[in-house]
Amino acid sequence: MKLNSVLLALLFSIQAAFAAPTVTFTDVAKASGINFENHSSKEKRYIVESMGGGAAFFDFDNDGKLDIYLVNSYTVEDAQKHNPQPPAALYRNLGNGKFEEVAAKAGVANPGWAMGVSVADYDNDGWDDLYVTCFGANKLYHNKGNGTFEDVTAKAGVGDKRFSTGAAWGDYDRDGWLDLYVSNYVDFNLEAVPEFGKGELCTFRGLQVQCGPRGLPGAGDVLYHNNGDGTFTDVTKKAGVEDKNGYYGLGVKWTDFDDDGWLDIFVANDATPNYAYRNNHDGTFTEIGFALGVAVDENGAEQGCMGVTIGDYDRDGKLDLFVSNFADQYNTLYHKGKDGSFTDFSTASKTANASMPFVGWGTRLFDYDNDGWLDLLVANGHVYPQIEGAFPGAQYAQRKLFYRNLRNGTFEEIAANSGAALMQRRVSRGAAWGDYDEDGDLDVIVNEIDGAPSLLRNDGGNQAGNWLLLKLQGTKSNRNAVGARVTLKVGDLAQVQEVYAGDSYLSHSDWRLHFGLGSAKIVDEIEIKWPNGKVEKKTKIAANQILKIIE
Amino acid sequence: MIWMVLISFLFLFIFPPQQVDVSAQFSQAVALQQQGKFQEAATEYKNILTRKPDYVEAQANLGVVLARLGKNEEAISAYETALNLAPQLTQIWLNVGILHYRVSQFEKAINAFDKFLAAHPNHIQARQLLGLSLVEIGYNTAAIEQLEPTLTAAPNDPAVLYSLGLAYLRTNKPTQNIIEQLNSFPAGVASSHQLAGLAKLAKFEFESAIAELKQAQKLNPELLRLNYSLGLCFYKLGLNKDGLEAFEAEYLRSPKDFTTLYYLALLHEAEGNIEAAKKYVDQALAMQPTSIETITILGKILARQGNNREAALAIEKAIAQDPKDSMKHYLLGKIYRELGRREDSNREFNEARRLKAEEAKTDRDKIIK
Repeated sequence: MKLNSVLLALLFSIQAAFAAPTVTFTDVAKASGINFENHSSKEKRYIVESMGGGAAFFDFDNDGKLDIYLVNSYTVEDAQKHNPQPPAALYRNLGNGKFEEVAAKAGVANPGWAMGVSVADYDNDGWDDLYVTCFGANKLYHNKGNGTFEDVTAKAGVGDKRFSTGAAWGDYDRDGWLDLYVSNYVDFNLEAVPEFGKGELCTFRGLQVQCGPRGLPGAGDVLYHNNGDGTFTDVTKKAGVEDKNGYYGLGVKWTDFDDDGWLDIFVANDATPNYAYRNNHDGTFTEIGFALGVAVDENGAEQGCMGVTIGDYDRDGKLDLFVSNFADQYNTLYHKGKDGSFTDFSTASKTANASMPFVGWGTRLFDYDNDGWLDLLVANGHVYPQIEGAFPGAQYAQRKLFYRNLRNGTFEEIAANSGAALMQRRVSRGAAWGDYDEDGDLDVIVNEIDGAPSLLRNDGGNQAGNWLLLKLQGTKSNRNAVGARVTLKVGDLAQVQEVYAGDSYLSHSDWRLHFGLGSAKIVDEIEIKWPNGKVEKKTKIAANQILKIIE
Repeated sequence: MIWMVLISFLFLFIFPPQQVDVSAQFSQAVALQQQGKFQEAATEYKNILTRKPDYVEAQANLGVVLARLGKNEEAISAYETALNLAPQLTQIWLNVGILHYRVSQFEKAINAFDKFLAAHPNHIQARQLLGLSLVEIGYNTAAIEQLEPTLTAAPNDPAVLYSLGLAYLRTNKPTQNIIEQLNSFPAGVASSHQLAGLAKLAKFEFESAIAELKQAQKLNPELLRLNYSLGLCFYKLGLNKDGLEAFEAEYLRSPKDFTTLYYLALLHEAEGNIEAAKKYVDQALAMQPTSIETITILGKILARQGNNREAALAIEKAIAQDPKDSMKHYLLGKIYRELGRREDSNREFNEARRLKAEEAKTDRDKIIK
C-alpha cells in the first residue's frame, strides 16, 4: 500500500473513531402519560409571569425509580381576581415508561404561585422532601414516607414571602444537616404593577415589553440554618449573604469553589453581577465574585444570568462553571485555572456565538454519549412574546442548544443532528437531568412556561459507551451527601463531580452521579471526599451498574 | 449633484498673467493642466513659484493640480499660501473645504465652507457640502438648518437627502418621508435602503437593519459607510466574524476612518486574533492617541500577549480619564492579579463592585408604576 493511502486510511479511522455517535433525544412526555400544562399569560405583561417553571427528578417514594415534579405558573390578572391557581404536578414513575399523576393525593399540588423546586432530605430520615419557591410564601413539604407530604413551612420557619426563585441545599457548617439558600428576584407588588412598555427599561429593540428586572428594586436573598430539629433559623445577616445591592437572584448552587472542603455559594443574578460567597468556616461568608472572575463576563459586563451548571468539561481536575444568559449576550463558560480563579472561556470554547439569539435557562454539563467527556445542553425560550416575527429571525419560542464536547477544550453545536425534539421551538424554563428509565444514560425533563413539558429520552447514549451511576448516602454527613466530591479514575484520565441539591434553572436533578466510561469496563478507582472531610476509596469497580456507597 | 461636485470639482484659476516675464510659462502650465497633464503642470507651476513666490494664481492652480494628483495635503498647503497672498480670492475656500471633506477633516471643511459662504451666500452646493460636513461630525441640528433650504433647488440629490435623513434620525425626527423621497427616483433607491437600515439600527432592530443594508449594498456597493453600518449590526448581534468581514470591507474603502479601525481592533481582540487587533489598534491610536476606549482595547491586547506591565499602564491611563467605568476597573483588577499585585487587584475589584451597585441603583427610578 502506498504511504498516502495509509495516511488517508489512518485519517479516516481517526475521524470515524471520534465521529458523533448516533444518540438522539426523543420527547416522550405525552407517550409516558405526562399531560401537564403550564398556565401563564399569553402576553407576559409582567415579569412575574415569565420567570417560573422549575422541574425536579427525584424518587419521592423510594422505589428506586425517578419521579417528576413540575411547578405551575399563574397570571397577574388571575391573581388580582383571586381566581384559582393551576396545580403543580407530581408524576410517579411506574417503571414501564409510564407515569401516574399523584400531586393532589400526595398533597403537593397547590404550593402557590410557584417558581422553582428544590429537593433535600432535610431531616435525614431517608425520605426526600420538597421545597417550592414562590411569588408569595415558599413551601416546605415534609415527606411522610407513605406517598404523601405535609406542609411544614410554618413550623420549619422557611416560608419567605418575597418573590423567590432559586433554592439550593448545602451543609455550610458541616454539622450534618442541610441548610437552605434561597435567592429572591425583584420586589414586585400586585397592587402597584409596573406599567407595561413605559420607559426605557420596559422596551426591547423598540418594542414595548414587560418591565424589569433592571430598574425594579431587588428583593434580597435568604440563608436558613438547619437546627437539626425540623426548624430553621434565618442567619442571612449574620452570615453576610443578605444581597445588600438588591440584585436579581435566579439560579443558585452550593459548590466548593476554593477546594477547601467547605461549601461556598454561587448565585446567578439577572442583569446584575453574580455573587460568589466564600465560606469563612465560621458561619460567615465573603462575597468575592469579581476577584474569583465569575461576577461578570470577560469584558467586565454584567449579564442576564439565569441557570447554572458546574462540571469539569476539560478534565483537568477542576470544576468549571457555566451560566445561561439572556439574548444578545453569550452564555458564559468560566474555566477554573491553576490559581483557583475563573476565566471567561466562552469564545475560546466555541460555545459563545451560537448562543447569542437565545434566552437560556435550564442547563447542564453532562455526558450524553457516555464517552467520559461532559457535553452541554441549554433549554431556551424568550421572555417577550412581543418579539415573535417583529424582526427577521426574532423568535419567542426557541430551540435548544446542544453542544458535543470535542475533547480539546472546545464544543460543537449539534442539536440539529440529535433528534427533532431539540429543534422544536418551545418556551423552556427549568430542566432537570436523571436516568428515569434506568438504562445507563441521562434523560432530561424540561418545564415549559407556555404549555406541555418535554421528557427528552436519551436514545443510544448507553450504546455509545459504558457508564456508572453512583448513589452516595451520608451517615455522619448529611444523608443526601450533598457537597461530596467524587473523583473517578480510569487509566490516566480522571473525572470529578460534586453532589448538588439545586441545579440548572430553579430545578433539581437526580442525586446519582452519572459517569460515562467510554470503552472502559472497569473503573480503576473511586475516591469520595464526604462532606465532613473524610476520604474513602473504592477500587476496581465494574461498569454499567448503579452503585450505592454508604459513608 | 453634490457627488459631481466632489468628483469633478475645483475651480481652475485662469487669471491673466501679472508678471510679464513668466506669462509664457504660466500659459504653458495652464495648457498642460487643461490637457490633463497634471504632473507636468505641477512642475511648471512650481518652477514659476521658485521665480515668483508671490504669484498667487500659480499658487492657486498648483493647488488644483495637486488635488487632481491626489496629493491632498500638499494641495491644501498650496491653497492656504494663495489665500495668504490674496485673501480676496474667496473661491479658493470652496476648494479648500472640498479637500478637507475628502480627507475627512470635517471641522476644517466646515471652517472653509463658512468662509466661502460668507462671500457667496447663495452658492447651493457649498451650503450642501457644509451641511454634509456638519452631519459627519454630529452637528445635526446645524446640518438640518443648512440642508433643508437647499432641497428646493436640488430636491433629488441622494447625498443631500441621505445626510438630511441621517441628521433627522439622530435628532429623533421622522425619517420616513426622506426614505420615501429617496426611493422615488432611481439614483436614490440604494440610499433609501441605507437610511432605512440605519433607522432600524437606531431602534435596535439589527436583523431588519441588516436586510435593508444588504439591499442597499446590492444596488450600490460603493455607498459610503455602508459596510461600517453592517459591521455594527453584526457586532450588536454578536456575529463577530460577519462583523469583521464588513469592517474589513469598509477599511479597504476608508483606511483612515477611526471608528472602523476601532471596531476592527475590538472584534479581532474579542475573537482572539491578537496580531490583527494590534495592527488596527495601533492605526486607530495614531489617529486619536487619547481615545479612552481604544487605549482600553490596547490594554486588553497587551494583557493577552502576556505584557501585563504595559497593559496595566494602558488601562490605568484609560481609568484616569474615565474613573467611573466599572468594566475598566475590573480589567485592571485582572491584570494586577496576573502581576501578583494582590492589594491593587482587590482594590480594583472592589471598585468595580461598588460602581456596578451604583449603576443598578441609578436605574431604579426609571420604571413607572
